[in-house]
Amino acid sequence: MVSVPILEMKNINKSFSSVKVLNDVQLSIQPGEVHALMGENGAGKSTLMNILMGVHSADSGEIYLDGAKIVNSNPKEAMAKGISMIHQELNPVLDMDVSENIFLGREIKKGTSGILSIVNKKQMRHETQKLFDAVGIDIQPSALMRDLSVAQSQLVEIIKAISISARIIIMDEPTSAITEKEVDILFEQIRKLRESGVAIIYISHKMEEIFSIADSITVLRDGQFVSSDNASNLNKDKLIKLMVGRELTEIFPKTEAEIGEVVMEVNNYSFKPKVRNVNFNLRRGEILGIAGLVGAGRSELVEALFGVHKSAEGSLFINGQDVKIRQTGDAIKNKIALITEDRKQTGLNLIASIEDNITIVSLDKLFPRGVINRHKEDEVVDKSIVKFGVKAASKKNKVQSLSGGNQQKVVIAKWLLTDPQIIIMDEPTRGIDVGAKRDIYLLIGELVKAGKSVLMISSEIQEVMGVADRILVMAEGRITGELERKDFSQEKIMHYASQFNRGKEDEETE
Amino acid sequence: MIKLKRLFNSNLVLILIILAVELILLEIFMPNFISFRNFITLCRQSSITAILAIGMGIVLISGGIDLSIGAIVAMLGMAAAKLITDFQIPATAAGFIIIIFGSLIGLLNGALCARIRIHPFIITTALSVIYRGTANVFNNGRPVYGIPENLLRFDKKTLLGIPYPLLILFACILIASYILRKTYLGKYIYAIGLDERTAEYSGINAGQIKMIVYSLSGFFYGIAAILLLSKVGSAQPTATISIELDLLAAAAIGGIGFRGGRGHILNIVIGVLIIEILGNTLIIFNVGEYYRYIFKGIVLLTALFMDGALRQNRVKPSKI
Amino acid sequence: MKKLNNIMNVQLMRELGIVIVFVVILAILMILSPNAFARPANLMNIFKQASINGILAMGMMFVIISGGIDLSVGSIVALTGVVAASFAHPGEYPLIVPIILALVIGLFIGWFNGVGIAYGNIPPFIVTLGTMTMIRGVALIVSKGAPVFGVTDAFENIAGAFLFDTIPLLVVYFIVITIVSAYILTKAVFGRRVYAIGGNEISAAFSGIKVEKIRIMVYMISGLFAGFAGLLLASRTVSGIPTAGQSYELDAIAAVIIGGVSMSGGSGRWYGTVIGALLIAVIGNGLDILNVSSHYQLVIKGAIIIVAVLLDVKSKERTA
Repeated sequence: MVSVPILEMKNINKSFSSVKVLNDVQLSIQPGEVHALMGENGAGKSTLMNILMGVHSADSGEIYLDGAKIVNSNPKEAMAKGISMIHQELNPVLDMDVSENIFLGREIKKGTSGILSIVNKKQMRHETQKLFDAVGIDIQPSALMRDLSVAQSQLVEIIKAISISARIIIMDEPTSAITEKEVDILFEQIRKLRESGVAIIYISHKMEEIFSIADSITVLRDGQFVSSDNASNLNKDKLIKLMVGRELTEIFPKTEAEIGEVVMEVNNYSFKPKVRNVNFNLRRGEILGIAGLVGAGRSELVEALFGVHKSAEGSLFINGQDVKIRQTGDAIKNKIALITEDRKQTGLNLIASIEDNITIVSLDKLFPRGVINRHKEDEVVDKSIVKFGVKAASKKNKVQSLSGGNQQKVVIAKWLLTDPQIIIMDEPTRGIDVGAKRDIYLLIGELVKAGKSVLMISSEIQEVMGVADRILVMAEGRITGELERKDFSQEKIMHYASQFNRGKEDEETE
Repeated sequence: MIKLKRLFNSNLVLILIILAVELILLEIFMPNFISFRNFITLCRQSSITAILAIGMGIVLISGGIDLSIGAIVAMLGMAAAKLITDFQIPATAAGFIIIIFGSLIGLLNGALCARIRIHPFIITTALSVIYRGTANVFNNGRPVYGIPENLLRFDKKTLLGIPYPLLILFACILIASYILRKTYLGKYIYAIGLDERTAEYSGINAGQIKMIVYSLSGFFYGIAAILLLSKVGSAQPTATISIELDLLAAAAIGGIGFRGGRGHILNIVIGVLIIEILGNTLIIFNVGEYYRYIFKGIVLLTALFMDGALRQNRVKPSKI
Repeated sequence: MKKLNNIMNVQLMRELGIVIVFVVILAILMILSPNAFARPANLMNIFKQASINGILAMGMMFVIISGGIDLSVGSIVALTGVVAASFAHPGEYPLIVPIILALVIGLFIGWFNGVGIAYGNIPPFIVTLGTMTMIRGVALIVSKGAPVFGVTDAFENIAGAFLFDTIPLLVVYFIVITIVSAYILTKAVFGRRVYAIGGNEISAAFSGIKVEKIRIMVYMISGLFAGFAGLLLASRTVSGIPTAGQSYELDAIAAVIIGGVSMSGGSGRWYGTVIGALLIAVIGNGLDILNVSSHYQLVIKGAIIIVAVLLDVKSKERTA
C-alpha cells in the first residue's frame, strides 16, 4: 500500500491568541482508505481539519494534494479541489428543502450561466431522489429541513458531501446522533466510496466504529502528532494509551470519601422534549457520574436543575427540603454550583479579567452593601488563584488569553468561591490537557472528601468510570440505567446509552 | 398539517386577511370611500414607499438592515435635481445616472457592512448622517425647484388606466421576486440570512453576496428617488426622514422580520399598503400629524412583538 | 513589571491613542486659529458645549457596555424639555416640579425601553427606534408643535448660572454625573454586572445575575440622564423646543465609541467617554470657528463615527 498519498499535511503549526493548538502536526492519507483521526477533545483534530478546509489558515506548514502543494483560503476552494467536510455541529438551512440543501452553493441551473441564472428546482429534486435511491434512504427531496429528524438531517449532510463527488471526505462524528440502522447505511456508503478510490478522514470517539471501518489511524494528543499506523496493528487499549499518553489507572486518582445521607433528591424532572421524568438522588461525599451519548439530554437536565430553563417541571428536595428553583440565582442560594460544558458560551466572560470572572457570582456575598472593596477582592482572588493553580501573568489579564486548562480552573475557582454543597460539572475536562485534567480529578476528590457532593457529566466513558462512585446513564432524555461502582463496565454503559425508543413523538417535535 | 401549511404562503394569507379587515372597517366607518379609483390612487401613493420597501426587504432577508435609506433617497433626489437644473442634463438621462449612482451608493454600504464585522445598523446609521449631510451640501440646505414638465408629468401618466408609478412598482416586484425565488443569487441571499457560517461552509462568499444585496437595494432606492422627484416636483434635502421606520414596520407585518433568511417580497409590499391605508385613515379622521409619530412607533413595536412572539423558538437576539 | 504589562494592554493603547488624537486636534486648532480658539473663554465654552452631550454619553455608555443601544435619548431630551418648560411659567409651580417631571419622564421612558428589550425578544436598536419616534410625537403634541416660551428666571438659572461666578453650572453637572457614573461603573457591584451581561449575557445568566433586571436598569439610567439633559437644554435655550435634540443620540454614541467603549459590549472605561465627548465638542467648536458649514459638519461627524467603529472592530480582530 505504498503509493503516492492523495493528501499530505506537513509541519502544520497553529496558535490561537498565543495558545498553541497545533505543533508540527503531520497527516498522510492514501487514496481509497478510511483514515481515522483520533485524539481526545482538544487534541487539535477539528483545528487541523478546519485548516485543511481553509476555514483557518495555518501559521506555518504545507498541504500537498496528489503531491502538489495547495493553499485553501476558504471552504469553496477546498471543495473545488474535491475536499469536503461533514460537520457535527453545523446547522442545515432549516427553511430550505432537502434538495436545495444538498445543492446549496452549486445549484443546478437552467440555461445561461452566471449568478442570475435560474435555479432548476425540478432537476435538483430529481437528482436528489436519484442519490437517495442509490443509497436506499427514504426522505422526500421536497421536504423542508426543519421537518426532518436529527438523524435524517445528518444523513442529508452525508449525502451532500458524497454528491459533491469529492475525493476526500472529512466526517466529524457522523454517527453521534444516528441510530444503528442508519450507521449501517452510512458504513455501507463509506465502503462503496472507498472502493471507488475516495479517501475518508473519519473522526469519532467510538472505538468499535473505528476498528470496524478504519484502515489506518493517526493519533493526535495536545496538538502534537503522536503516531500513524495501520488499524490492524492496533487494538483498543493501545489506542487509548496513545491518545491519553499514559496508562489508564494512572490518570484517575480515586480518593475514597465517606458517602453520607441524601443531599439532593430529584423527582420527575422534565424539560420537554429534552428531559423526561428524571428521578435520582445524590448523597453527601458522592461523585455521581452521568454518562450517555451526545444529545442524550444530560446538559439540559443539569441546566434545568440549575434554573436555566423556566419551563422545567418537577420537584427538587435539598437536604430534605422542597425547594423551588426558577432562576439560576435560586440555585446559587441553595448552594448549588454549575460548572458548564462550554466555557466560552456559558462559563466565562472572555473579555473580562480573571479577577472579574472569579468574583462575579460571589459579589453579593463578598460585598453585601453593593460597593466593591478592591483590597478585599484582590485578597480573595489571590487566594483562589494560588489554591486552584491558575497560571497567569496577572489577575488583571483577560481570560481569553489563557489556555483551555487555565480557563477551566478560573471557572472552577469562580464557582467554588460561592462555597457550594452540590457541585455539578458538565464535561469538566473537555478540551484541556492531561496535566490539567489530573488536577481537576484531584480537586473533585478533595471536594467530596470535604463532604461536598459532585454530579459529573462526562462523555468519556473511561473518565466517568474512573472518577464516579455511581453512574446514571441517559438516552433520549430518560435515565435508562444506573450502575454501582462494582458493576461498572464499558459494555453496560454503552448498552444503556443506546436504549433508543425512537417514538413518533420525536419526529413530530421540532 | 405540515403539507397544508406549505401549500400556502401562510404569511400572505394572513396579511391579506389583515388588509381585507382593514378595508372592511374603513367601509363601515367611511361608506363610499372605497372605490376602485380610490384604491388605485392609494396604490399609486404607496408605490414609492413600496419600492423602497423592496430594497429594504432584500437587505433584511440577507440578514442585514439599512437605516440610511431615507438619507440616500434625499441625496439622490438632490443630485438628480442638480443634474437636471444646473447641468441641463435631460431628465431621462439623469434618471439613469441616478439609478446607477444609487446602486453604487448601495455597493459602498454593502462593502462597509461586509468589511466591518459589526451589526450593519451602526454602519448604516453613521452613513445616513453622511448622506444627509451631503444632501444638504448640494444646495446649501435648500430645496431645488424647477423640475421640467416631462418629469413632473411622469407621475400622472397612466397606461390602460394604471398609473406609471404603479407599473414601475409591479416591475420592481417582479424583478426582486424573480431574483430571490428563482436564481442562484436568491438562494444565496436567503442562505446568508439564515446562517452566514453555514453558507460560508457551503462555499458561498457571504461578503460578495452582501455587496450585491446592498447595491441591488441601492438600485431600487434610485428608482424611488426619481419617482419622488416626479411626484413632489422639487428635491428636498429633508425628504424621507425616518422612512426606515415605515419600512421596518411593513417588513415586520409582511413576515420578513429582522433575523433574516425568510419572507417574500410581495408580502412586504402588502405590508406597506396596510400601513399606508392606516395612515390615510388617520388623516381622514383628522388625527394630527404629531399623533402619527406615536402611531408609527406603536405599529412598528406591535408588529415586532407579534413577530417575536410567533418565533420564540428562534435564537433570542441577545444583543443589538 | 506589572505596570509594563498593563501598558502593553491593547485597550490601554487605544485609550492612549484617543488622548493623542485629542491633543493633536487641539494643537492643530490652536495653530490654525490662535486668537479665537485658544482663548480661555472659548475653552470654557467648549466644556460647556460638551456638557449636555457628555451627560447623554454617560447614560449611553452604560447601555453600550451592557451590549445594547439607546436611540431614543434625543427624543427624550425634546419631550422632557418641552414638559419642563411648560411647568416653568412664572407664578405657576415651584421650580422643583419641572425638575422632577423631567427626571421622572426620562426614567419612565427608559423603563419602557428596558422592558421591551428585556422581555420583548426585540433587538434594542429597533425598540428604541420605535420609542424615538413615539416620544418625538408626544413632544410635538404636548407643545402643539411650537416652542414653549416664558420660563422663570430660576428655571433659566438651572443651566445658566455659575458656580463661584466662574464655572458654569452646566459644567458642574457634567462633572458630578461623570463622578457618579464612574463610581457606579468601577466601584458598585451593579457596574460589574453591567460589564458581565455585556461581555457574555449567557454566562452572566448562568452566574445567577438577573440579566433582565440589570438590562432594564441600564436603560433607566440612560433615560434619567437624558431627562436631565432635556431639562438643562430647555433651561439653556430658555424654552422647550419639540424639535430639539434631533440626532443627539448619534453624538452620544460617537462620544462613547470614540472613547473606546466597544459596540459589542462588555468593555470600556468612563474616562474614555469623557474624552470622547470633549473631542466632539472640540471638533464642533473648531469647525465653527473655521467657518465650516453645518452640512459639512454632518458629513464629518458621520465619517468620525465610522472610523471609530472601524478602529474598534480592527483592534478586536487583532486580539481575538
